[in-house]
Amino acid sequence: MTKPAEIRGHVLANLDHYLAELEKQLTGQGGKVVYLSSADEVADYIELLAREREVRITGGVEDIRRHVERLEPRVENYLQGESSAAAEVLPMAGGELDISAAAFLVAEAGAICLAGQRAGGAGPRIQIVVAGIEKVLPRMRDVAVFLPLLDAGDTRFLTGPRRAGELDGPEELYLILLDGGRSELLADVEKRDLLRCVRCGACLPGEAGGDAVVCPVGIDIESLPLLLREEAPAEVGGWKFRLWGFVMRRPRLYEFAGQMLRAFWREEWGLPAPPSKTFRQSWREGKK
Amino acid sequence: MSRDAVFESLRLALGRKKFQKPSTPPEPLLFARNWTLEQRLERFREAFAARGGTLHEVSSAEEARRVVAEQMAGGEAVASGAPLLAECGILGLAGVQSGFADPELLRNVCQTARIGISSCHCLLAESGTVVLRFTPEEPRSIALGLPLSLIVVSRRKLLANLDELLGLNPRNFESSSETVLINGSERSEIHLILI
Repeated sequence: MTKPAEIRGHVLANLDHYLAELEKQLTGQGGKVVYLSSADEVADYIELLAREREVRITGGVEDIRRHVERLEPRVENYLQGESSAAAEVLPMAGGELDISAAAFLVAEAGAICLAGQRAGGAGPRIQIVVAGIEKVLPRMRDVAVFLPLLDAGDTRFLTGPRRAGELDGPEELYLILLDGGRSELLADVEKRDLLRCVRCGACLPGEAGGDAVVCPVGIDIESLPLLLREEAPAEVGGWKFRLWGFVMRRPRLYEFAGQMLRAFWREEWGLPAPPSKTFRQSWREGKK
Repeated sequence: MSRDAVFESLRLALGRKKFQKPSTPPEPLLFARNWTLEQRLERFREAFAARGGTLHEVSSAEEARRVVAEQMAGGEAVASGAPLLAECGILGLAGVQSGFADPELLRNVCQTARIGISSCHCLLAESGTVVLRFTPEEPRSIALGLPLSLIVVSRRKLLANLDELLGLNPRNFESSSETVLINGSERSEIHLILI
C-alpha cells in the first residue's frame, strides 16, 4: 500500500476522532463548524445565514444548492466523471459572502486548505467553506504528500476569521461539514475505500492519457465501475422505474395510461406531442 | 442532521467507541533537501521565472529601497507594516502610504492604488512559490489586491520545498488567520526583491 493510501485509510478508520479534533482546533481559533446532511440543507442554512446578516444573495436557494452540489459532488459521482468545481466561486452579495470548497482539512492545525482558488483583495465579510466529512487529514505535514497530487496553482490555508488587529479578511468563517451519504458509504466495507479519493482527477477520462491508471490513494479503479453499476438500478431508477415496470406488465392499464397522457398533454412541457392514435389503435383499425 | 447524529453514525459505521483514541497515524515520506543557500537560490531563480515573476537580487537594504523607488517611478504606493520595510527605509520613501489602523481607510486607499509593497513569510526554492501570511502588519489588500506587488524579503527566508514548510513547524500556521502559497502571477505583476 502506498503512503498516501495508508494515511487516507487511517483517517477513514478514525474519522470521528479527526473530525472532533478539527472542530476543537478551528472553533478555538474563532471559526464555526456546522454539520449538515445534504446540499438542500446547506443551501437552506446559507440562505438563512445571509438573511440574518442582511446580506443580499443573487439568485435563490436553488442556485446555492446547485453550486454546493458542483463544489462538493458525492465521491461516487466524481469517480464516474462528474467534474468538481472546487476552484469556482459563486459571485454573490457583491463580495460580502463567499462559498468555496475545501481540498483538505487539517485536524491538528484546525486549517482549511483551498486549492486552485485565486487569492486576492480584502476577502469577503463572511467566508463559508463546504467540505465532505472525509476531507480531513491528521497533520499539516500530511498535506505535503497530497497537495502535489492536485497540481492546483495557488493554495490558501484558512485558520480562522480575521484576528484582533487585522484590517481585512473575513469577519466570520464557517466550515460546513457535509455528510451527503458519506457515513453510509463508510459503513459499507466494500465501498469504504472510495472515500479515500482526494479528487486528483488521475482516473477521469482524458487525464490518464490512455495509460494504465494508478490511483495514488489505492482505489481499485478497474473494478469501480462494476461496483457502482450494481447499485445503479436502485439509485437511478427508483420508484419511477418500478412504476413503469408495473404499468408495462398490465396491458389494459398501459392503454389507459396512454389515453390519459393524450388527454392531459400540455405543449408547455416542451416535449414532442404523442401521435393522435396509439400503435394499438392503428393496429386494430388496420385489421378491420 | 445534528452533530451528535453524524458522530453516532460514524462510530456505528466504524465500530468505534466514544472518545476512542486512534493508533499512531502513518508518517508521510517527506523529502528534506540538504541544499546550500546557493543551490536554493539557483532553483528558486529558475522556478520563479517560470511562474512569470520578476526577481531582483540585491545585496543591501539601501539597494532594496532603490529598486522599490525605481518601480514606483515617482508614483504612489501603499505599504504594509512589515518590520523589514521599515529597516530598509522603504516606508520613508516619497509617495509611500503606510501605518493604516482604520479598515475603511485601507479599503478606500487600495481601491485606487496601483502598487502594493509588502514582505512575505518565506519562499520555496523547488517550486518558486511565494508564501504570504496575513497578520495585523501584513493586510491581504496590500499584499495581493493590487496590480503590481513589490515583495521585499531576506534570502534567509528561502526554504527548500513544501515538505520543509509543512514539516518543520506546523503549529506556526495557527499564529495567523491565513497563509497563502502563490504559484503564479497571472492576477498581478509580482516583483520580488531578495536581500
